[in-house]
Amino acid sequence: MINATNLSLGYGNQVILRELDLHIEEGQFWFIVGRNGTGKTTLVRALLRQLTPLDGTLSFSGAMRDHSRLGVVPQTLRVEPTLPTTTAEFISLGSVGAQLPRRDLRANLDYALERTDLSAQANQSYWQLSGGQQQRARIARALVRRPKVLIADEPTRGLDVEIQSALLEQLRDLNVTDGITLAVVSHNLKAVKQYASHCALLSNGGGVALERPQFDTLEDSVGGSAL
Amino acid sequence: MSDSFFSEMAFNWTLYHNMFAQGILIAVTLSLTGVLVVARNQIFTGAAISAASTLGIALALVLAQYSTVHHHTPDDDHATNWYHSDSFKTTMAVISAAAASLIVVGRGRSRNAYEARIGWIFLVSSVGANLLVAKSPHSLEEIHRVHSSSILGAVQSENLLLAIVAVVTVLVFAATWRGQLLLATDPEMASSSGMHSSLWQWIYAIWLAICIGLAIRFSGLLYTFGMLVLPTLIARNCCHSMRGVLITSPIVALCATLIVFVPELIPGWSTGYPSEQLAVFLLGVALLPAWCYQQVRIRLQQGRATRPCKPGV
Repeated sequence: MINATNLSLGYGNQVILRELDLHIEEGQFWFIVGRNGTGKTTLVRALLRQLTPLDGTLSFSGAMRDHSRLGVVPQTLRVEPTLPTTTAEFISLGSVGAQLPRRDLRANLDYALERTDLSAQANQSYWQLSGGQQQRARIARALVRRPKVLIADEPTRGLDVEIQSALLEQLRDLNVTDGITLAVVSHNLKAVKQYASHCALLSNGGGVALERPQFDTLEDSVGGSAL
Repeated sequence: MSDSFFSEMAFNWTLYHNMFAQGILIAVTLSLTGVLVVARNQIFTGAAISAASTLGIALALVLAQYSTVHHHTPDDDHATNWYHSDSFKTTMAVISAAAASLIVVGRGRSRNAYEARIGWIFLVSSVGANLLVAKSPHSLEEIHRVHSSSILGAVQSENLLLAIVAVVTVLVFAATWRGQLLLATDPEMASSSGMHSSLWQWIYAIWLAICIGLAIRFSGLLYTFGMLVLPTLIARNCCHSMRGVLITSPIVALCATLIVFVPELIPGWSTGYPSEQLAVFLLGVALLPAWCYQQVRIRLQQGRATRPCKPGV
């Protein structure tokens, strides 16, 4: 689905990430981990085609060929909090550009609400949801497109440990039950060991792709249990 | 009701129907466009673009004066006539609005830089418009008229242009409202959803400039800015969803316009106050109960959210 070979990314003359090789296949659960400033969000922007590689190749196939079956959970939410919106409306805006028949929109909204346990909050104001529920609504907004691939940039950021675990469980469920390929940016090495099938470890301007058996040495690679 | 009542009403209609139509067309167009302005938290963008548009009109007046003074040969007649025409003022108003809009609408930079640009454009344009025409009493009066708003003297050709803009605005909103709202509220998400964000930002900036530039030229600053932001602010306080805001905003603008303009048509009902300013005042006053309603609604919802659950629920 995603093939990166010798990929270098950056802005202008500033190279953030060098010579990364990455091959993401259907059904895999990837984590992209690394310390602050190692290029995690830059890599996500490249995967979303918002950034052109400085060097190397980045090619897409299958569901990644177009945006219609790609779900995204951005790191920051820029919706103006004074703007009224219900949870259902907030989620349904995720269907923009998905080129789905109108009749499917309602079914997809129900699917997204159900998969994120937000059906009861559908008509409630989005701004009155708890932090964890708001984060689930953002995942639901990506799910409303019925994505084959879901890219989430630090979806557990700012949540307490219990809610983080519940959210990651939900993501695993989406991967296992619905067959959605996942790429999740995180600082949480424990979560990588618990949930990931693959991991892109970014450090010192470069990156390395690891598979599950190699995770045992993950802490040694980063020099500690926390990033 | 006597025959004279109806004949007077018919006379008023003949006199005011263009003004009436113009008030409605501007109200509908700006109240819809205003939803995106408010959703982007760019309320003062409207003020800055309006001020820039006024500067454009002032520039047009100065150029008209200059062309008269430097009018030497009969060949210059055509150019001089163009400089003195209403079309030239309208074109200059839209061009200035477009320039300001393109400067401020781009969202790439920080909020501080954005605020600074708006402040700069607003102040330079406002002061510049007055300074440019300060030595010409006739032009100064026209700029003051633009500042204070008046639709008196509206003509059919202006209304035709405004009708085209209104129809295009309604059609674009009807076809792309989800995308427009997503782009306005979360451009990053819109971009990753496959929308051509930068193209739409350009279209939005240009369209906003056309709407504001035309409205300023035909109705003046207060009515334009008032119709751009107040109906949406009222709708924002009263509605539960963005879709609701999108529907309610033009209805609020239309109601305010009808409440103020219809009495002008009915003999003996005229208030004697400038209708455009009265409409803006009415919207401004209506914003207070709308805000109170929103506060009460939020308190009630918070109360419901914090109420302890019944045992076993």
